[in-house]
Amino acid sequence: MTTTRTILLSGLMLGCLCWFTTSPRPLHGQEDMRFFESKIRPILVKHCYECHSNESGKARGGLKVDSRDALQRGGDSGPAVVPQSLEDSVLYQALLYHDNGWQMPPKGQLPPSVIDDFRHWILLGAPDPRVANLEPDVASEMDIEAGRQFWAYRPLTQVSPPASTSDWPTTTIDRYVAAQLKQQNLSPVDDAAAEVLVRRLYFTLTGLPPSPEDLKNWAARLDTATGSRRQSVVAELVDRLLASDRYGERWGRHWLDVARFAESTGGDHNNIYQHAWRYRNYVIDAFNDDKPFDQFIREQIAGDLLPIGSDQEWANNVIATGFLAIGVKSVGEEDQQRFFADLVDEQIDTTTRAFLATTVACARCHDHKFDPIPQTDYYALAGIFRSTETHYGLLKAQARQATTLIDLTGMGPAAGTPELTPEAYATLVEQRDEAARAIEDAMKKIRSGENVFRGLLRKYRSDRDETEAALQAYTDRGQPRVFAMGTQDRNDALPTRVLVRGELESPAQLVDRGVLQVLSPPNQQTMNALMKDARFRRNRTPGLPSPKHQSQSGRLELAEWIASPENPLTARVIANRVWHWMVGRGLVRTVDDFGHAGEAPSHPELLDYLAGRLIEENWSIKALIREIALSRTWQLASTYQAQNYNIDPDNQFYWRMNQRRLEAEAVRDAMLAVSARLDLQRPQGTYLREAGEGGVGQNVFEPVIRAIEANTRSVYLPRVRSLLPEMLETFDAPDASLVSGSRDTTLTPLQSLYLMNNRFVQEQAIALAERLEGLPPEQQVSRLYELALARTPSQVELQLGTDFIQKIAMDATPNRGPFESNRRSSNAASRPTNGEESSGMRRGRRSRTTDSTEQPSVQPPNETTPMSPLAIYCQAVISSMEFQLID
Amino acid sequence: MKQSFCDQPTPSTSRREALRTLSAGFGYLAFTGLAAAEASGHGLGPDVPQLHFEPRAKRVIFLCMRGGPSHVDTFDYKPHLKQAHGRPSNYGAPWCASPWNFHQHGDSGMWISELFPNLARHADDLCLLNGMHCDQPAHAQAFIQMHTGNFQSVRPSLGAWTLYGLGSESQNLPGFISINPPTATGGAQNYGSSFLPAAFQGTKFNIQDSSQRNRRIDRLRRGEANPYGINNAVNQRISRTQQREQLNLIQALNGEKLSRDQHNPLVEGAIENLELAFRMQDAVPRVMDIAGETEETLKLYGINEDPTDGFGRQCLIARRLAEAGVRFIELGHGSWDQHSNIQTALADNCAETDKPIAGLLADLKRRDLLKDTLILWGGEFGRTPYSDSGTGRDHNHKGYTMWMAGGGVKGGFQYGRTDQHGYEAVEGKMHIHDWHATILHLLGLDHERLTYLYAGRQMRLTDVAGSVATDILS
Repeated sequence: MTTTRTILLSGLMLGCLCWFTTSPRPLHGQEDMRFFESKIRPILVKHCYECHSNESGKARGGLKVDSRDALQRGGDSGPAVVPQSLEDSVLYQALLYHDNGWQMPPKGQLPPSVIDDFRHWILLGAPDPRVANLEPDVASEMDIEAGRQFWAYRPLTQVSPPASTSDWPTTTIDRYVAAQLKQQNLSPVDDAAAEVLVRRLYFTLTGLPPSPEDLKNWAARLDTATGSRRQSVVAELVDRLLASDRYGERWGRHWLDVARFAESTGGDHNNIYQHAWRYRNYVIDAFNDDKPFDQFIREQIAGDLLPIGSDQEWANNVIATGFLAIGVKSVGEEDQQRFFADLVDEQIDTTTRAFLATTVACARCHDHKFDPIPQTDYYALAGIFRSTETHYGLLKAQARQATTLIDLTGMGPAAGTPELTPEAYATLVEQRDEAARAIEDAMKKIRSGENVFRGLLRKYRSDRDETEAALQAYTDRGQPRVFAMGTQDRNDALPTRVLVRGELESPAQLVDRGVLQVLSPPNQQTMNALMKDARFRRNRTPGLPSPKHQSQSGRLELAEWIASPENPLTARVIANRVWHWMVGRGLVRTVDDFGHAGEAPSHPELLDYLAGRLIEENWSIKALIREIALSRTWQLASTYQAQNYNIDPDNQFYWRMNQRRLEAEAVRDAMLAVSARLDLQRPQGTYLREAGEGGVGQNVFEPVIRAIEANTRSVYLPRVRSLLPEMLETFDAPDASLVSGSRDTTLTPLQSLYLMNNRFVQEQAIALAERLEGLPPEQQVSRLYELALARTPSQVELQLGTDFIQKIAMDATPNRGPFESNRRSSNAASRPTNGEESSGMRRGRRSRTTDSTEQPSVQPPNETTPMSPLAIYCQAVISSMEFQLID
Repeated sequence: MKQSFCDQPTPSTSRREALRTLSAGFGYLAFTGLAAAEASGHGLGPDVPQLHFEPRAKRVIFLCMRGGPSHVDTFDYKPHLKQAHGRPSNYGAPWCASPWNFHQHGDSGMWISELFPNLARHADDLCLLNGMHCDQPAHAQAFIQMHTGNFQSVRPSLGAWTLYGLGSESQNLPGFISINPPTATGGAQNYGSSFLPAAFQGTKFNIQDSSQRNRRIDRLRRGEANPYGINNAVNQRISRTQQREQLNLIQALNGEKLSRDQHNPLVEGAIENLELAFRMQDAVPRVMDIAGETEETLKLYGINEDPTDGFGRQCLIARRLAEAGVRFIELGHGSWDQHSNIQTALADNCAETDKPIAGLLADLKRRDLLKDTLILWGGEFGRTPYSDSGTGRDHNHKGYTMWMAGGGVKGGFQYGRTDQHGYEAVEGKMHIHDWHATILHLLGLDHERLTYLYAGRQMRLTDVAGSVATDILS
């Protein structure tokens, strides 16, 4: 397997993470222990606990000194005590008060006799009785066997579809649906009209409206064909749309909701992830390439461990593991252990909910309250993720819990940054050196007893690291380097103990790494048992060195176990998600929870049929979409029918197609499409490059992020947690804190205000009006309807439109708010502005860094220009609810 | 949603249905109809023609302290914990006494911690609910349950049910406003309307901390605080007259869509929202403009002072919204989730909120608004009286404290209690369902009769539980 290359971006690599391991240690006699008790412990308690203990709740520099484990594990600067090595024991070096290192305790050097005691103690092997007491084994009273009977954990069943009793069904899907409809006394409504179906297909598959020409062409072909000929026209259109790159941008976005994709850490400091965009592009490409979903799973969980044929392939697989790295993190956490435990927890939660719709993370502190998942299962999985290193970058001076990134330079993936001119490179070098000098000067002052404002020192360090990081993003010839977020295996697996109540201070028994018991044969859930299981081995990844090949962490095997056709949840969960994205509601409505707190499937047999078909078709998502789109069920009209409605108001049984609200991204993209401003070019890297490294509100300012504007598809807009682009936030895009397979659909007056008053909407209306200029009024109206609503206007609508354009008064007095004086500055700060998208980003970023107290200079846009009657009309049409609905 | 078909009810022709039919073909009128309903003082709810009881409160201000405020350090005095401090509890970790002193206040002699010196002066207005409990010690679940009664499915929030039952008094502002709600722990669900019509959904406002000290740094970090609390409140491109004409057109187009579809709650909701949004353009800037408030009032709330400016502004805006007829106002403050560092973090939280809340009570009282405004205070659960680290407390859903004040509740009254350590509610226990039932009762609504037909069932905020704590009614 390929060796990995990683680069140290800044700061130190995290220290050893072997908590609660039972590593061999020299045996110490009573004498040694007495020495510790009389000479060492009192000093630690008196001089160190205040900042480095559980008792004080502080772990300055990530270090605690109140247990043997904690001392030897150390903090940010490495192990505090290395038995028998004075040189490597940071604690001892700090006691010596060297000029250029740590000086502890800060209030003054300890007497030489005490330092000598520490020297003696370390050379003795640092005897320390303060070993974390192990809790009694955690036992579970859960009845796993009974748990296995729950529908979701049983193998897929293949019940032959009910025989048709009418000629309504056209495909197998329809036969399942028809049987239920009949049973509920429901009758399906008519098929959707051709124009409706074409628009539905365009939006559902690509997230964009059809052009008037495409609409006319396809609708005409559908209208003139009947029966199987009509179906083949639909099939042709479906295939064409699935083959378009626009498909991946829409369906990739669906998956990015599930993968809680975002470009910042969220949490306490919300630091920007400058490299998360690679995972975003990977997902979009995977959907466009119709990557088999089982492979898609394996790459995201264990891409770095898969067999490969080339560097390029390895690079792409590593980028896929960004899935595990992009989650929410509290990077200001002092306690390294707690941070690591939370990171692992986030990975367990996301992995099990995204692929298995199972909330395993609920079993962190106790057995799962609803599902047959004992606490030990959680720690069996934790053992796998604990044996994994997660690389997500960030700068040490800005985030205590920074890590390195994975360097993929020269392996094929495109750079995310433009080349740097020699002058720009030289400027960066100069800036870094300047910051380094400033730090040196400040340190000199501190050492000579002068008072230096600590915040200033922090700023210098941050500046130095930021410029250093910027430099490391290039070779010294100014060629951009390629970094990715992702995972690597540790050299050794970390033994893992159950933590009582999930508390780090209460470790109990060791647990073997493994998978969920309820989905395994009795007592066969461990990695070792899995390796011996013939069914598991049958479905292993092709190309492994041998069928017995085992990854160090067990992550590869976990990925294979999830991606196996034998896993009853995996295929069901993704088939259900696809149905949800096609139809607007899952067969299991709670798409992220197939457990007891979720809902049972409305059509269990149909769900199993779809899951089975997916596996049969080599896990092709496109094939599944195609099959659903070709069903008569999917092609039904969305019309209201009182009798059916009274029986089934939620349309649980699909007597009509659900009318759906477009997601925020699709509404925005559609506005850009109809205004002909949509830029279909994929941007290079991320727009956040302009904002730079750091925490939002600390080194990166909200107005700078808000000012980023681009006419690319919404999937490429910056995705900073709790700071989404205004339109996306207003129209229910998820905040990406958790797996989110189904979006809220809210309807608020704030959305109405956005449509009425936001500059973006007004500008699209103005551009749209430009497209219509020169046409006679009636044609303006009908052309607008074709563009915006994919249909011809009714007589009433035609009349309303022509009357409106002619009669609306040209009135150039804009309405003003009562806070006239405040308004301008508030708009200037919160409204986005044009320009500087791809050029001059370094300039913008650096100018902020050199004087961070200066207000970000954002040009107030000219947003007072009156709109023409035609533009006002266009705004009305794209603000009408129909624009946001798929019939 | 599990659907039961055994007792399939026949949907009655609701008022809403009637309005829809009357207005068929011209959705804009539907709104006029609804507005008329508002003006007549009746609720918008289809099957709620009148109040069930004499209401004691007309509106609610919910001071939502997310994260789980520690009750044993604030409103649940546990002298026994002092003696037990450091000794092992029955729950693993040792007992941990509150580091703060409690004193008796008011005629009632209510024990309140020194963390709330200003609020303590209103002890005789407070009705402490010391026996609160809920179902889950996890933030999201408990937070959602506090807001909707149910964390397993998406359900209408307390504010939405209130609005459904009582309608809005204001034609120009949303009837339910949630200020600075969290995006996590359920997000929009906590002020959503779920299956209730979209008009009952809460509207999110943001109010930033703009104290002198923070203003400069805030402007840098977040941009100038938006004085309106919401974006897009002004339009500089077209006049109000033009905009009205434009809106009439949009509504006519929406009306066309509605009449073609016959039944379309999304379009109906959009029609209502557009009209409300149009009027909000005038009403929101007016209500958010605190320039006319006296210096004395600003001081009362701790505005322009540290560390009270942020929450002080929220509280003052809450009073202004209440005066403007907003039915349900929720304020957000947090996080109170102190697993460690409780000494400083809890003290900070209390310092930020103590004066503003006391100011709000005083201001409402002198304006004679407290008598029919129900104030609610609390978070999704409390915290454990034991502590592993000695520096923080864990989640505790088995016993904690919330309080009420104002419309219809006894002042200076303590209802319920926890065991001697403050771990579990043992007397006067009040589950979240009971809390909901009591709130609705105070508003004149019977929680068993405030129902909405959805998926074959008459749904309630309290599901099949809940009882009114009649002991606390004044």
